[in-house]
Formats: sequence, C-alpha cells, structure tokens
Amino acid sequence: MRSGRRRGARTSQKVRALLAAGVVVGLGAASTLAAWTDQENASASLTAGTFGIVGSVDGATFTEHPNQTPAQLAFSVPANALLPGSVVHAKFAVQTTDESAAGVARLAADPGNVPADGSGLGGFLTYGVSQIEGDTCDLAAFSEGTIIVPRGSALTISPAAGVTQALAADGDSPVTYCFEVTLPTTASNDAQGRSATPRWTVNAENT
Amino acid sequence: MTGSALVESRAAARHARRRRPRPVSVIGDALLWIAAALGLVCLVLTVLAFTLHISLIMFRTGSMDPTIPTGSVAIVREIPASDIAVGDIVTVDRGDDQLPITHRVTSVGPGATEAERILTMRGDANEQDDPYPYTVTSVREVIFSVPGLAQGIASLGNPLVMGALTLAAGLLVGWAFWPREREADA
Repeated sequence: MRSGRRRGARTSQKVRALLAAGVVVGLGAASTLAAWTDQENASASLTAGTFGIVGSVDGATFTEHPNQTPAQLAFSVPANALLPGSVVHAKFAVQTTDESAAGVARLAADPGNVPADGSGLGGFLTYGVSQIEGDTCDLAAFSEGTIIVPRGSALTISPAAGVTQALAADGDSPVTYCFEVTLPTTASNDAQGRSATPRWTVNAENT
Repeated sequence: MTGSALVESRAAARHARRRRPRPVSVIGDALLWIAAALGLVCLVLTVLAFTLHISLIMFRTGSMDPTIPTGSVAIVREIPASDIAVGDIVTVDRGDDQLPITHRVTSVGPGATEAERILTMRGDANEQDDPYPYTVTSVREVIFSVPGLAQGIASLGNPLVMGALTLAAGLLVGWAFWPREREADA
C-alpha cells in the first residue's frame, strides 16, 4: 500500500520531468519557425539615373547640340569649293555627360540630305563614316577605323540596323566618328555652284 | 542482525521524512508541476504550429508602425493567395537572398494561373505603395502581434541559450529517472 503510493509519486515525477523537457522542444521550434521581416521604405531609396550625351567637333570641347543648332563639322579642306574628285574629312565625337549611365550611340543620316526635287548639291555627293580610335580624321585614319557607312554611299544612307557604338558611363572614352565626303569625278556640270547642308543625328540610349 | 537493524532505521527515517515533508521538496515539487505545465503547453503549440502552418515573424523595422512597432513578433498563418483580401497584413517571401516583407495589401489582381495573385502592398507608415507588385501563390497572414518580443525570441536561437536549456532539461529528466535503492527495498 505504502510502496504503491510511493511508486505512483515516482511515476508522476518522471512524467512531469519528461513534460518539462517539452519546453526545450517548444522553444527550439519557436526559434526555428521565427523569421525576421524587413520593411524597407522604398520611396526613400530611389534615385533616378541620368543619361545624356554631348558632342564635339574638335574632340576637346563637348557640348549639347540640340536639333535646332547642330554642330558644324570642321572639314579638313575648305568644303566650299569642292571640285570633282575632292575628298574632305571631318570628325565628330560624342560622349556621355558627367554622372551619366552607359549607353549606345546610333548614327543616322537625315532623309532630307538628298532633296527629292534634285536641288542642291546633296544628290551629287557621296560619303562614308568610320569610327576611329585617335584624334586625327583623314584618309588613312578612315581606312584604319571601323567602317560604319561604306565609302561612296549616298548622303541619305544610314548605318545598317543594329550598328551601334558603346558609350562608357560618366563621359569616359568618347566615340569619334570620321566623316568622309566626296564629290565624285563623275559629277556632272550641273553640280557647279550648288551647295548642300547635310545633317546627321547621333541618337543615344541608355543600356 | 546489524543489517536488518540498518534497514529498519532507514525505513524509520524515510517514514519521518514522508510524514513531515521538508519545505525544499515541497517547493521543488511545485516547480516541477509548473515546468511540466509549461512543457505541455510548448508541446501542444509546437504540434499546432506544424499542423496549422503557423510561424512567427519578427519585425526589424517600423514601416507598419503604429499597428506593429519595431521589435514585435507576429503570429502568422500560411494561406493560399486566393484567400487574400485588401486590407490584410501579409508576409510575402522575396527569394532566398532577401528577407520577407510584411505589409498591408492595397490591391489584389489575378495572376497568370488560377492559384496566382498579383498584390500591391504598403506599410502603414509609408506614403507610397511598395515599388513593385508581388506575384504570389501563397502568403502568410498576420493573425496577431505582440510588441517587444522579437529580441527574446531571436536570442533563443543562440547556441548558449539553447545549450543551457537542453542541459537543464537533461539534468531534470536524469534526476527523475535515477534508480533509487528505496524502491528495491520496498
């Protein structure tokens, strides 16, 4: 009788000890089930990037050239008295602005470079564009560079689709285009005294 | 002769102990009852947590302030995306390399599949919605939260704390099951 009660007390003690050990299981489970959550405030951490390009005709002074006031290319020889067989060169460099992201530049020729009515000199001239590494744009540099528009193209010919030039971020390493304009020896007498103001555009987009 | 006398005297002493229990053993007994009750609660909660997909979310920052201040712990339950309603506070997982985010749902749109939903959310303390919508098939809905518990629960994961608790429980069980001469005598 007495021993039975004692044994009961012992069993109760054992069961309670085992149950108490459940605290370890429970707290262990709680610490594995618990996860941190992060509540970032998005509106505070966003800053828009900037992207812009500037161009230069001498490779030194870069400025913005909007549509209304394009850069005037400086041709190597006076381009106001072209004779059949004359070849003139001029360069145009573009780079990204300070703080700008990187991007690609795409050269395009204006369709109005050769007037549909045949007026002006545009229809007689041919041209080509090469991307050059150095600062000098002449016959040799043109041939050494990466030809973007082949020699002898009409002034309305743009580079093939998908031909782009990589622009580094933050105004590093400008892209220099070397323009070569030719009045072919085959130009007819009609070309005499005429003039042209061809226009090219460099479009850039952020990548 | 001497042996039986010894047994008798020991039995007498045991008798005396049982009649007038020492205060220390009374307190110990009470503590064991309390520990057992706590352990039982822990075990039941653990089983419930796993069967009902309940877990805990600790708040590191205050973008749900004042509803859920920094340092709170929320009890969350996993629900399918189709059960989400605008105004719910839900926890959305953002992949392995980012912590989940817990904000209030501001809109629910249909997703690419039947089970998928596209949510926009906003913290109660934020002026704007989160920058990107979340595509989810299941989320964890906040059932209720308790402020100030996060640090304590986080420290449970500390190996020292866990080790000490395990050692204490081990000693307790070891003590309770330690074979006693007394029982063999009786």
